[in-house]
Amino acid sequence: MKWPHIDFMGRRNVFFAISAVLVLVALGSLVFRGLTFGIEFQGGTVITLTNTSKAIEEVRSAAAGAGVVNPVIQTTSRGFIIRTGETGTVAAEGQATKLAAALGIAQTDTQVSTIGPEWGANVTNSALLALAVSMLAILAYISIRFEYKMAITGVIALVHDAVITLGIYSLVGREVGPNTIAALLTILGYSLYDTIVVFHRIRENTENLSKKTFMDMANDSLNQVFARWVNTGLASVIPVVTLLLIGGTTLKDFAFALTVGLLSGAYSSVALASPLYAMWKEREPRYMALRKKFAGAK
Amino acid sequence: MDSRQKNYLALAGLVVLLIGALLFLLPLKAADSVSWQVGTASGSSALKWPKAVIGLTADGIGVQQTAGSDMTPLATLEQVTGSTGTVPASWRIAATTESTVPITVGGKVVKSADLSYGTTFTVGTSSLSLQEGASSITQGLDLRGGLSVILTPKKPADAVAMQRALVIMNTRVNGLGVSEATVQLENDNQAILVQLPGVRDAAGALDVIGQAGQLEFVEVASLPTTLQAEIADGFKMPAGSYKPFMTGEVITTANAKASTNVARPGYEVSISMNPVGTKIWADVTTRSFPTQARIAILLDGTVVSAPAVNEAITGGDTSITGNFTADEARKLAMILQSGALPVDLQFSQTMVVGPTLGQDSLHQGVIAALIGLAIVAVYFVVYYRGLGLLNWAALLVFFILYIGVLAAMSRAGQFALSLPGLAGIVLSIGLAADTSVLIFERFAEEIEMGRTYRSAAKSGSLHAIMTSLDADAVSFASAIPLFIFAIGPVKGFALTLMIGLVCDLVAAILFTIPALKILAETLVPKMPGFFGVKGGASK
Repeated sequence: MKWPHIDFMGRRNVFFAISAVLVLVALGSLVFRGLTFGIEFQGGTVITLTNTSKAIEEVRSAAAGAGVVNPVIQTTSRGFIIRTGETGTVAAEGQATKLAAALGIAQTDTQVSTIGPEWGANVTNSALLALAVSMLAILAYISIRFEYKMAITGVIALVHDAVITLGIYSLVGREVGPNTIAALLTILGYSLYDTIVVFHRIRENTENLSKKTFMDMANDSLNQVFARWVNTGLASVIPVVTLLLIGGTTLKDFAFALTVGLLSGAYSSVALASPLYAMWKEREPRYMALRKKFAGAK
Repeated sequence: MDSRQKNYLALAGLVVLLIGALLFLLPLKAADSVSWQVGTASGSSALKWPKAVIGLTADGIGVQQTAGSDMTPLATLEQVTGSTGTVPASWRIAATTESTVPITVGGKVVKSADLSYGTTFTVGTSSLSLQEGASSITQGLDLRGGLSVILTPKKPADAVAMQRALVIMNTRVNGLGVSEATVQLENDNQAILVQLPGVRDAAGALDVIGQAGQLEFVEVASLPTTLQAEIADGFKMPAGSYKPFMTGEVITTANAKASTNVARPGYEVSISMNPVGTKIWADVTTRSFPTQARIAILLDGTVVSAPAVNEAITGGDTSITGNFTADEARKLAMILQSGALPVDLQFSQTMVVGPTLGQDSLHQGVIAALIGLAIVAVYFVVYYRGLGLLNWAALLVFFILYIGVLAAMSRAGQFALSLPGLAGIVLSIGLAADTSVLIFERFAEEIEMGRTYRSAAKSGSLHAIMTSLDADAVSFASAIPLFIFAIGPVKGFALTLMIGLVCDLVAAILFTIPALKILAETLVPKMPGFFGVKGGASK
């Protein structure tokens, strides 16, 4: 088993350019197309029907007959998802019951969720607060255990992953629900985990650094953890991709966010966090001296 | 103690933990049960395959595995054959032919009917409800089906009022007879979360939960004449058009019972009053009965009943007859007994999940996860060969510990598996696989650097576990705020992730590392090729 000799750091400008393009496209989409938020964030009703082979036109006319106002009907592999702006619980429950009866669908194959508008705002705020505190906890932990430069470059990579994942959501028009938030958090956890493994190795190699530049040492560190990076990446992505291919509707949304985010997270720890950190460190007098001594001796 | 002994000690410790975990995992499923209520007495009995007998005993109603000689069988309750592990088993009630006591489900008299968990049916005047046996890991509402409601006050309410509302809500929910129902305050005392797993009649449950429950007594004679003519059952009084002489606060007990009034058959709600109420009630009925004046009884502003007073009632006991079905009378009694809500509540979120829907998601998720794991397992064995097998064992150990902890928490009522929680489990399995990968990679690397197998195992696992420790700790630190601040599904995700991270470290320290060290001294030197490492001591 030999380490590969890939020149990650030498290609950092290419990586930065790729990330910049991805982030810009994501931001552009977020600004111009925006996100479709689920009822959990803005209030409304979702009626899920399964085990039915009815045509969408039948569902549409049955919905009109059941008094459902302006329904957005989406077909799934085994049935339909119907979204409306209805925020009255009893009304929504009544409409769903009528609808299921009209289509001959058993009550047990029906799911109705209704959420009031204020509660939606509540859920959003609590999720944002949790996310903010979570980021602070990460910054604090890495700053104390490692150093603040790792903390900041690590969090830059996290933000990069979050923006790209949300950008993809915006581009394909998938709905952002509570499961998306959970997925986003999973991604950030994974990305962070990857980054920490690389940083750990860089820190270890920093201790005996005297014969090469910081940048070269960081590049060696990436190569040393490369096999682990590939294997862990595969081990985590494969179950998620199977979930995406054969999971149910709810799980598919979750798996979709995870797949995009895991790829982005694995990419950003190697292509973004590590080079940024190495560039920052190179500006320290100690490592500037090493650069003078060994530059070009690659 | 030398290091070799420590390795075996760690493995011995692990065996103890695994046995503990298995104890919580087995039995995988407890028996289903039926709980019953006869008057004020209640009890429950396990239902075991294939059937149980419901019958009349000297005490009222009884449930036995086989009909006893002291019991007149009324009906049998049997599990529907052919129900498989993929669909929650349902039960079928079959009345014996000689049964003269009517059996009703949802207010309808039946000879036989299919019942799902949470169904309440009545035999005569007793009610019985079916409960699902506890499986080793409690499933959340989104997986096993049921009703989840979040109620928030229309105007901000103080914590004391919300606490009182919580107590009242608890009483009402208990009255619904759903097993494992939970009622709790959330979001800084500004929301009440009610969860009714397995409930069948969602609409009926919503009625009981959402009812404000304000009972008012009004003398019809005190109303404007135009309004007097309108008073009839079901009439909604215009707001502010009347002045009650008494409210539901005076009620001490309320019970549903079969009506003794020939003119109004069906069911009625009998109530008792406290001394203050008894006095007022006596005064009003005494002055009303000579003229047979009417008194309107209103629930949340709607006339429930408006009887003419036929006699002075001085004992404080009276009954509300309103052409109720047994079910309606029971619900009203429940609402009156629990009292009016001190705050004006509204539904902020309701979720009704059909049981098959959640089960489908669960099974698809589990199948997908298993297929994914199988692919990963094959890949690991191809890539790491012998160490890949060790990785399997490590994952198995991790998984038993993990599920064991979740089962133990389920048993203590502290955990219910939801879909986001399932995602946390998937993530944790990935992280656990990574811990082994880190250890093996480092082990191979140290051999590459010229160490002996033994010292490579020692220093490799030390370095790797330090990395895992830091990475796990950062993930843990990020999960804590999620658990504390987020509401709803994200909480379940954070919880399974945190438990997974701890189990990962325990499995690595007590199993993967000692096992690797032992292998490095025994099998690896004999067959380095099989373990994917060459050289080592020879270098």
